[in-house]
Parts: sequence; C-alpha cells; structure tokens
Amino acid sequence: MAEIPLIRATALTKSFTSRGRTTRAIADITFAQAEGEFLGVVGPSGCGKTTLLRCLAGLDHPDTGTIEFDGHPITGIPPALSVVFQEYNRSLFPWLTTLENVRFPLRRPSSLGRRARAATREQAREALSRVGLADFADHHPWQLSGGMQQRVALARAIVSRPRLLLMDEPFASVDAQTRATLEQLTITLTVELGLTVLLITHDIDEAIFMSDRVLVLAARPTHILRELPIDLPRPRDDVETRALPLFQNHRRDIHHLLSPTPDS
Amino acid sequence: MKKALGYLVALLLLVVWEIAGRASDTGLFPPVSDAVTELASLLGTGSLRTDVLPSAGRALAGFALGTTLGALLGITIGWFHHLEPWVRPSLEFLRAIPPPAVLPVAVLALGATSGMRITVIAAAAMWPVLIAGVDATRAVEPGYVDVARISGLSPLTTLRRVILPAVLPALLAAARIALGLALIMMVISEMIGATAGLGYLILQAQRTYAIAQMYAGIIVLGLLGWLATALFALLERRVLGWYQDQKGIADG
Amino acid sequence: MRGLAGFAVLVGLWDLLRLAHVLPPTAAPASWDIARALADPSLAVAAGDTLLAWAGGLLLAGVLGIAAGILLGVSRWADAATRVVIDFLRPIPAVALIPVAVVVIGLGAGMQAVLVAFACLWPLLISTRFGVRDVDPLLVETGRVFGASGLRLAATVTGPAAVPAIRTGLRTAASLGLVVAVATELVAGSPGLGWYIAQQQQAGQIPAAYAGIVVAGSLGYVIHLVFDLSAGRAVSGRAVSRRSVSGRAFSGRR
Repeated sequence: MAEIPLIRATALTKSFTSRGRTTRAIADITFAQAEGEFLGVVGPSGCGKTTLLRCLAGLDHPDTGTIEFDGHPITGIPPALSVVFQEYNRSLFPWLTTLENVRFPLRRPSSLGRRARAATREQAREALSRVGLADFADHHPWQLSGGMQQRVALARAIVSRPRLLLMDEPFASVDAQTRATLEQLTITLTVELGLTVLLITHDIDEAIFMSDRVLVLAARPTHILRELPIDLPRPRDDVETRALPLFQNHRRDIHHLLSPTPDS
Repeated sequence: MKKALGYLVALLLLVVWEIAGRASDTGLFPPVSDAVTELASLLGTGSLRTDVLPSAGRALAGFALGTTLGALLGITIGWFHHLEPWVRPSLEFLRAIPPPAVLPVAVLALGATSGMRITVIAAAAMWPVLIAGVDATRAVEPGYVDVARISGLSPLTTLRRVILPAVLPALLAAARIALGLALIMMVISEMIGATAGLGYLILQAQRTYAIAQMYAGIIVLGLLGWLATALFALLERRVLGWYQDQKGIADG
Repeated sequence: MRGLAGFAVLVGLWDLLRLAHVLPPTAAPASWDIARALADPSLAVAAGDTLLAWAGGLLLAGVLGIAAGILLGVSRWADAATRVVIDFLRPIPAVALIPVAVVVIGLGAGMQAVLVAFACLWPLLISTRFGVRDVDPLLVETGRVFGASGLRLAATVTGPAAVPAIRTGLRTAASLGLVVAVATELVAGSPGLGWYIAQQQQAGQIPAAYAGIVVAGSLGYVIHLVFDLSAGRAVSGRAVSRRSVSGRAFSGRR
C-alpha cells in the first residue's frame, strides 16, 4: 500500500436535525483508501452510507472529523473526484443527449476555441464507446433502458479521468441480469483506466465480488463493524469467482456481522 | 378527411351568419360579407399601420418584458428558497389582483401613453411566469444540482445549464397563460383613454354604430391571437422538443 | 407569520418610496388612507356585484365547457368538426367582445356573465377534452371487462378519471373569469369593482380607487385559495427532499 492514502477520513460524525428531532447518521468513521484500491462499503439500507458518500464527495460537511484527499484536508468538492449516483433518472439531464450528458463535466467555457470544444466532444464519444453506447450518442436518456442509462452515468463519471470514483448504490435500480453485466463492465473500466473506486452498496455479494477490501457498516448511527480484505484472485469472473469457497466464507462472515442471531 | 370536416363546418357557420345577417334587419348582425369588406377597407386605409401593428407591437413588448422579468424573479426567489416563506403570501396577493383593476391608476400615474399600456401588459404577463418559476425552481431534482456541483460548475453556470433547462417547461406553460392575459390587457388598455389601437377601433366602431367595422376589428384580433398562439407553439417545439417527445405530447 | 411580516415590509416599502417621492404621491396614496377607504360600504356592494357576475359566468361556462369537453374528448368526429372554429374563437380575448355584448345583449349583469362565460369556456373545454382523452386505456378496458359501456362507462370510469384535469381547467377559468368581470365593469360600466375603481379615480378619490384594487386582489386571493385547496395543490414547490435511500430490503443475493 502507498505511503499517502488517496483519501482518508478521520473520526467523522454527522447528525441531521429536522423539526426539532436530531438523528445521528454517522457515529464515528475512520478509514483510508490507497490509490488503485477498489474499496467496498457495505451496510444495511438507511444506515447512513449515502451520507458518508456525500461527505467524502464534499457535497455535505461532517459535523466533526476531517477528510483528506491526497494528503490535504478537503475544503469543498475535490476536482479530481467523480460520482455515480444511484438513480440515473434523477441524475441524467433529460434535455441533453447522452453525448452531451457525458460531456457535461468537461470544462467548456465559451472562451475555449472551436478545436478545444471539438476535443471535449471526442473525449465524451470515447467514454461512451467504453461503456458500449457509441451508437446511442444522439439519443436522449429517457429513450434508453435503465441499464443503458446507468452506463451513460458511468461514462459521464469517467470522462474526466477522475482519481477517485465514488459509486452510490449504482446498480440498485436495475434488474439482476443487467446488474451482473454492469458489475463486470465497472471492473473492466477500473482495470483499463486504473481507477480508484469506492463502492457503496447494501448488496453483500456485489461488495465482495468487486472489491479488494470491504468495510462493513453497522445500522444507523453507523460505524465500521469490520474491515475485511478480499483476497480473491483477479480477474474475477461472474460465475467462477462466486463459486469459490473463499467467496462463500466472506459472504457468511458479513452476513453474520450484519444479522446477528440471538444465540450467535 | 377529418381535417377537411373542420373547415367545412367553419364555412357552414359563415354561410349561416351570412344568411342570418341578410335576413335580420336589426343591424346588429351584419352579414359576414359586410364585415369582410369592412376588414379589407380597414386594412387598406392604413389602419394596419396606425392601429393593428402598434397594438401587436405593444402586446409583444409587454409580453416579452413581463415574462422575462417574471422568469428572472421567479427563479431567483426559488433559488434562495429561504426567502420564499417571507414573500410568498405577498406575491400570491399581488398576483391575484385582476390586472384590469389597476388600469385607472396606471393612467393616472403614467398617463395615457404607449409606455403605460406596455407596463400594464407586462405587469399582467409577469405573474403567472413568476409563480411558476418559484415553484419549478424549488422542485428541481436535487440530484441535478449534485451533478453540477460534482462537475465543478459555479452557481451562475449551474443556473444557466441546469436550473434554466429544468424549469423551462413550467415557465413556457405559464407563458401560455401570460400570452392570453397580455392580449386581454392589450385590448382593454386601448379601450381607456386611447385614440388608436385595436381595442380603441372596436370600441369606437360600436359607439358610432359601425357594427360591421366592429366585427372586422374582432376578426383581426382573432387572427392576431391565432398567429400569436401558432408562433408560440413553434417556439415551444423548438426549445422544448425533448420535453414534448418525452411526455409524448402531440402537436396541437 | 413570516408571510405577514413580509407583507408588512411591502406596505412599509410602499409608504417609504412614496415619502421619498420615488412613487408620485398624487398617484400613490398613503397606506393608512387606503386602509381607511376600505370601510366604504358601497365597496362591499361593488364586490358583491362582481362576485355575482363572476359566479354566474363561471357556472354557465362550467356546464357548457365540461359537457362539450366530454363530447369532444369521446368523439373524434365531433372534435374534428369543431376544431377550426374553436381554434379561431379561442384566442379572441373576451374583453374584445365587450362592445359586441353591449350591442347585442345590452348593459347588465347578464351581459357581463356571458362575457365571463366566454372567457372561462375555453380552459374548461380544453382541459376536459384533454382529461377525457388522456384517461388510461387500461382503466377503460378494465371497465369494459367488468361489463360497463356507453353512459355507464362514461359515468363510472371516464368521468371520474378526468376530474383532475377538469379541476386544473376550473382553476384557470376561475381566475380568468375575475379578470374579465372587472374588465367589463371598467369599460361597459356595469356595477362592480371595476366600475367602482374607475369612478373613484375620476372623482379624484385615489385612496378609494386603491381600496377597490385591494378588495379585487383579496377577492382573487380567496378564489385562488378555494380552488387551489379543492384541487389538492398538485405538484407545487413543496417538494420535500427526495434524497432518501431506496427502500430495497437489505439482503445478499442468491
């Protein structure tokens, strides 16, 4: 592991107050992620995973604790960071074509010359073809299936070559078949582009299958129950990897952590 | 086939009007041919330049001014959403004032000028768009704003590239209502203290018992309204094509 | 509470701008003078007259517009036959017909109600037609499967399903009707708020003219509230933050 982690969270806490009632979302979270590592964060629904991601992304501020990106405390949204949100239909712009959606994060001040603007279009096109949607550049998101829309969101997230990609339940809104395909696609992209990914999910299998290491979170107010290295061989295969005894062991371990039976 | 039926029925009604007009001797229903003759002479005598075009120009100016102002204010208030509970009831009250009610004081304050008429048209056209702007801006998908922030957009760029397109369907729907109000205010503002304009023409025709001319004026107004609606639909199609396709809204 | 404070600031601003001569004091009377003029009993009478003409016109338009809208929504032929005529008549501002109505019907509340009805007819007709046509075909088929047809289908399925659209039309019509009612009074001199305001302005009673405007606004506000509440306040800005996590139960995948 590298000397300076890409992102490091120290003693994060966060509560929300609405109508006079305070809810603690994050009790105490400390972890670090190295460059190039695929980190899975798994926990029950509503445990504060999304809040954690929003804090890491700089979209929300933790009440206490610090977040360092590349060794420096963050003071906003780190420019080298990108997010895939859970619900594509709430994050893709219906008025833009898929190409324009993907191109959206690329800086495009009007001062930019025509050539530079054409270059961003090429960049977007390249990202689209990486997710297999080169032929759908001129479609609008609502003309595509849910799985394809999430591919567009993925293309948009990688178009600027982020150093850290945060994924918030990215495959929770698609069917199981599509989900497996998208998981495989994400892994491929990670390898091809050398991405550092932090994946938040409630799906234990997904976390094990994709990650190098898994953080298991407790129910709200959340904290880290266990940190679990996943030493499954890569490249991982949808069928083979899942059939390995090691995979099953990890799966059982996390399951027990998250749903303790009274006599356990 | 069905389209032809519509024109056939319209023609039939005109024929009925013609026959009834010829048969009646009250002078209240001149045959449609008289109205059309009157229409031709009206436009021939330069009324197009002195009445119709200035009226249309004022309506357009007031409509453009009012809807633009309404959109700007509405989006601003919606964006600074902490402001809304303070100003909302006042806005709702001001919006609820029937625009013609302020005409007499507008004449008093601004005089019977073109500027006054454009002002009252703009004031009427502003409110629907303003209220829709507030509501639509507040209802913008928070996820859209998150994407803009992650992409490093400044607040101003976010307004232009995310908020504006997101609220545009609501704004244009409200502008349709504003268009109707603008036409109403165009006519009514010319019926008070005016010496030219379509509204003046129609009212004057009635007062001098030039009934055929009165109908001619109304026909012009109908054509003007039809034209405005058609142009507006064209504009909507241009800037909201994606929305209409998404919602499966057919033309017309 | 904050709304009231906002309103107070608005009134204060009015008086301030007036005292600073930004607003011409001759055309912008002091708020307390306007408040005093609100007590005029003939103002209440005028408001009653306006309300009556408005209600009569809206009722007339409601009956005609909804009936015609249902017909045009159900029958494609009827729709095609009337389309051209409606497309031409609809954009005519009702106020342009004031002179016609004065000549044909004569001065009076009846004339005013007819004009209000003409204005209110279109939003009602169009939204009813849209509502009827937009009814989910699945609902109609379900109705058919359970043996409903013809009038019974219209009464039990099509009609109720179109109600939300009709309500929207009613809301538009209600506020438009008030505009036309006041405009008619202004031009044709039928008794009511529009006439009251014009009279007071001509008599130099500017605070009273403003009092008339305030009452007209209050009337509009109440109408808006009543029709908005009855329509259940559709998608307006009260959007709660929808940033909740999806409700999928936590589970491993088989």
